[in-house]
Amino acid sequence: MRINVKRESLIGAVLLLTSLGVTTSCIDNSYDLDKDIDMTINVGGQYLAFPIGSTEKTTLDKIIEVKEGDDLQVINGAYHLIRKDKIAESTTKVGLAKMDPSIIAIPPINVVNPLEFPAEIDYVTENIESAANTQIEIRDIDQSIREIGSLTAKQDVNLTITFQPDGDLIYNTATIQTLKIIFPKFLKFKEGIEGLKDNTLTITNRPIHRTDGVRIQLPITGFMFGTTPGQGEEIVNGTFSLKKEIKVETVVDIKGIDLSRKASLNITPTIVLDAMDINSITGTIKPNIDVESTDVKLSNLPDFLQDDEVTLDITNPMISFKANNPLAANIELDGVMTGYKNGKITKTVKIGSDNGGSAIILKPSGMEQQTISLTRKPVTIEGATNVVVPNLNDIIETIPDRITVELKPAIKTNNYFTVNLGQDYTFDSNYEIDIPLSFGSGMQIVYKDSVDGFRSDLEDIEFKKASIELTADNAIPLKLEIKESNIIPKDVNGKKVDGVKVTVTGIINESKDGVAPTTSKLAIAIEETKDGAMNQMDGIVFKVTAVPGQATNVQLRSDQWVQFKEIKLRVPNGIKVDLN
Amino acid sequence: MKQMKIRVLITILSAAVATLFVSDAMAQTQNSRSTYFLEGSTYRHEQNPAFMGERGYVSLPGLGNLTFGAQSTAGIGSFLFKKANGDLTTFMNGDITSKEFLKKLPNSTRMGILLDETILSTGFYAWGGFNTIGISVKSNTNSNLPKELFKFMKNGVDSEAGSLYNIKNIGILSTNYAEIAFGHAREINDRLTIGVKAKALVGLAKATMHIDELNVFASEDKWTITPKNAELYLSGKGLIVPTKGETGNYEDTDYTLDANGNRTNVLKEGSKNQISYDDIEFDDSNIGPTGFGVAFDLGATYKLNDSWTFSAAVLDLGFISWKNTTKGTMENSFTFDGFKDIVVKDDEGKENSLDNQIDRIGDDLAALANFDRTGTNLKRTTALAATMNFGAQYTLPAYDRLNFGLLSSTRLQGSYTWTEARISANVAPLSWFETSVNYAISNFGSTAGLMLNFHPRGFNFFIGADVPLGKFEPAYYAPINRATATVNLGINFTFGPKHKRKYKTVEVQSL
Repeated sequence: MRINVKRESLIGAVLLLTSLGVTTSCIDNSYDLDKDIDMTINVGGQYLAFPIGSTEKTTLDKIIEVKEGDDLQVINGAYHLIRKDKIAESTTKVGLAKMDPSIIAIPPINVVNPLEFPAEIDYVTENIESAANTQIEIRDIDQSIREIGSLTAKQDVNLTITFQPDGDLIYNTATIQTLKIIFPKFLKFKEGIEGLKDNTLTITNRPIHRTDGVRIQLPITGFMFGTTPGQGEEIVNGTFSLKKEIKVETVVDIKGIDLSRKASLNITPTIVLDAMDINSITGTIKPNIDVESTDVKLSNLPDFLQDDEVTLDITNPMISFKANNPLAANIELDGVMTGYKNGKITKTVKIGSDNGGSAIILKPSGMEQQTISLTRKPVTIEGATNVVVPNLNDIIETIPDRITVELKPAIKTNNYFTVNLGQDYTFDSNYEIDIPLSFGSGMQIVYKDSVDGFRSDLEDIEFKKASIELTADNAIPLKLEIKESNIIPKDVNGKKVDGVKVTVTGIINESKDGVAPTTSKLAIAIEETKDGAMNQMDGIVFKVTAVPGQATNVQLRSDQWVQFKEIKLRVPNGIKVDLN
Repeated sequence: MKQMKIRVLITILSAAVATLFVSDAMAQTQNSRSTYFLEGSTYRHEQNPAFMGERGYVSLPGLGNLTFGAQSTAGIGSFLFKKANGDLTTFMNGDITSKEFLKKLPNSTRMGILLDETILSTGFYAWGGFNTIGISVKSNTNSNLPKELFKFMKNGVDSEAGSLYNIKNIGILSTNYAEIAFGHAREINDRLTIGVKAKALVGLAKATMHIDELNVFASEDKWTITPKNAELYLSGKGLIVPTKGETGNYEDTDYTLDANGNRTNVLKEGSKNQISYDDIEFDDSNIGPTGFGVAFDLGATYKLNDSWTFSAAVLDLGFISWKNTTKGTMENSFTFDGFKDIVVKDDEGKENSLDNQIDRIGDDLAALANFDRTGTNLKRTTALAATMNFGAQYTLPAYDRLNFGLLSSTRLQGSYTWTEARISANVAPLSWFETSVNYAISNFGSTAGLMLNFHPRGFNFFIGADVPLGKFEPAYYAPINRATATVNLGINFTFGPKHKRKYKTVEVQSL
């Protein structure tokens, strides 16, 4: 019995002990390693952060790429928007003019008449006068000629005066004892004509041929009316008409009169002016100078000047015209510059005295070009004439994609100058736009850029929030601001991703002088507000808005720099990595 | 006398209990401690040289006493967690809180594999006691990964001001040696038995890699990784540990970068002295012992009365002097406080381009893990990991074939120190069969052991295993909490009469 008790105890003990292991060890099917294990991990911790470090001093020439042919150029280290091209060549001319021959019939001079017949065989008349008006007319004169002060013939033309005797008087000889022909003052005779003085021709003791009379030929070089406006002859309806008196005074000596037969003797003076080809005219001339409008295309601008939000307030932009003035009078330029962007007019700027501005005058220069520079503020430019156009910035305030320049050159003065008829006067001109990037307070430029390809790089990585904090030393005279609304997350199709909140704290302050840097702090945080939004992100499009702040009128230079220091990247709550 | 007995008992029990609370300990077992209280076990003398065999024996060559196993202070459940939906995920998953992960993680994640094989052993009674002679091979490889390392992995930067992780005692230790042991145990009187074992040790190979501290600091201003006292020792005859300078087997990262970020032909300073890991090999024609040493086991048992027997042993008190030792040190540290002067444009070909700087950071990180060879053919003497066993056995007065035991074991091995307390129920229902069922708590967690010992006359076969209690995953039966398993088996041939102990007050009751 005792043995049995012991046996039972033994069995019980063994069962008890063995059951210890059996009951405490079992299979936990939830830990089946043959099943998939979620290998999504979180790394980094609650305050994951990295010191990114610092960038080099990044000069503007590394940010703003300037290529040959771009409108933006660097000149002596300074940024200029440069655009220059040729303005279409134009010509003007004053049309040819020709004067037809004219005959001036002067009333006959009555030397002897039966009623007052001489008593002596020899008879000397008193001073007899006769006069008539010229009948000079030039038609189809170029309309640009408003008044003629003088003109010159291509070749000398002859003015022929004949004195033809007629009548029944019988005599032996007739001699012009004295003859004065008083010509109008406008006639310009060739120098050196004997007996001609102050347009009065004096002839003495010239026998009168019984049949041929007396014939006198005088060469004329042109007409001369005056040298100042008003002294000349006005052109009316393209016609030039001259009716000026020619007066003849003569004393005739007649010998051997047949006193028995009372008869008369007359002398008829006739003046014939040959046809004249006019070479040049001096006077008030208003030639028509047609200049084709010029399209200035601003198509190679840097990106940061192309955004719709860009407004330029350039301290002193300059638009220069280089042109010759082949005429002998000042040409005044008026014009209208019209800016277009996407087919719509942005602004119009009118220039020239006709538009209420300063006169823009091209002085006579032959074929040599001269420079007229339009600026917003007065400036001394060597070799150029400066014309101030206070609202000149308007045309580029919103940078157009093209500017149409319509110039209207004109001779506005009535002062006399000389043109050669039929000659082409060629105007050769260029324009040059020079906008030195020195900004006024109204300036705002927008640098737009994007980064993408996140999805491929971060395909298996997920995070809810990330922020970057940095200290910026800025020697650029521009205040740089990244507005929260200007950071736009995009998906692979370029569509905005909703559910991502962007927070920007701070701005990058401007250097006051473009040399000494200012230090600012900037922080940008991006946070997911909707599950999965970050994972949709493939990139961001961002805009940096730059305004001059207090650094107005400081030239933007390629050697100005910005440096980001103490850059720290924070990824709160770490990064989720999908290793499945 | 009675008071003295009580003091001894208290002392032993106190020591045993105290060891339970030595937390910074290491996993290390050799022979299964399930045999400690099995009087018919042939190899009890491995646990305490004062234990005398039931009979003389000769081992089956190579299979007299074979122990192999693996231990870990962590298991699958330490690193794999169940999510709310039932799926498994790693501890790095965001759904798993740091607290949840670290709570289950031991202070040190230690993993070890062991092999203890008796090549040949014999035991016999002569010269007034029990004598043993044994030749065995022992191999232990352990690694230690501190909790702080996993804390860094899990928590990362967990403070706004930055986080400092002081990761101490990262290491790998592998000790491999052969042992020739001569043991003698004798009964001093009817209560006290003592034993001693002298061991001649032959070093085969030893590898130690140890980093005292690895300080990782991570903040928004700076990331640093600074190792402290990082040393590597490799001992082995015929072991060739060449430098890159000797082999010419350089990696890309060993060459300097030019201003354009391209690799040059100029080696970085110090590259020549770096150990070429890929070229470490054994010279087959020169393999042999690489060191010698001695060790002693000391033990005693004291039978207080019919019910109580106490025992104590110190094992492996000794050392091995290793020759052919190569020493390496890791002096590099890593600091990253940001990129310098990052080139914004034209980053291709610029010295400070981001790509180039990232390459250099990569190089620095790669260099961090390089050991420089700082000595060759060195001699190095290392102490064996001594083990202390204290046992208390209670035999059921009413049924002396059943006894209960409490065994405290502590292995002293620096960072790898290990301690265990084990209770067991041992029964010998038949004269040729006994078994032990036991439960242990150690640095590696709790395990349950079962040992079956068949010891009829002329033959002995035993097999036992220590496995962790708890749950197992179904696919590979890997323990979820701690990956620990040790198997101990052996076949021996016994001879001679059964040894009669001097003290025997209770007759064996036959079934």
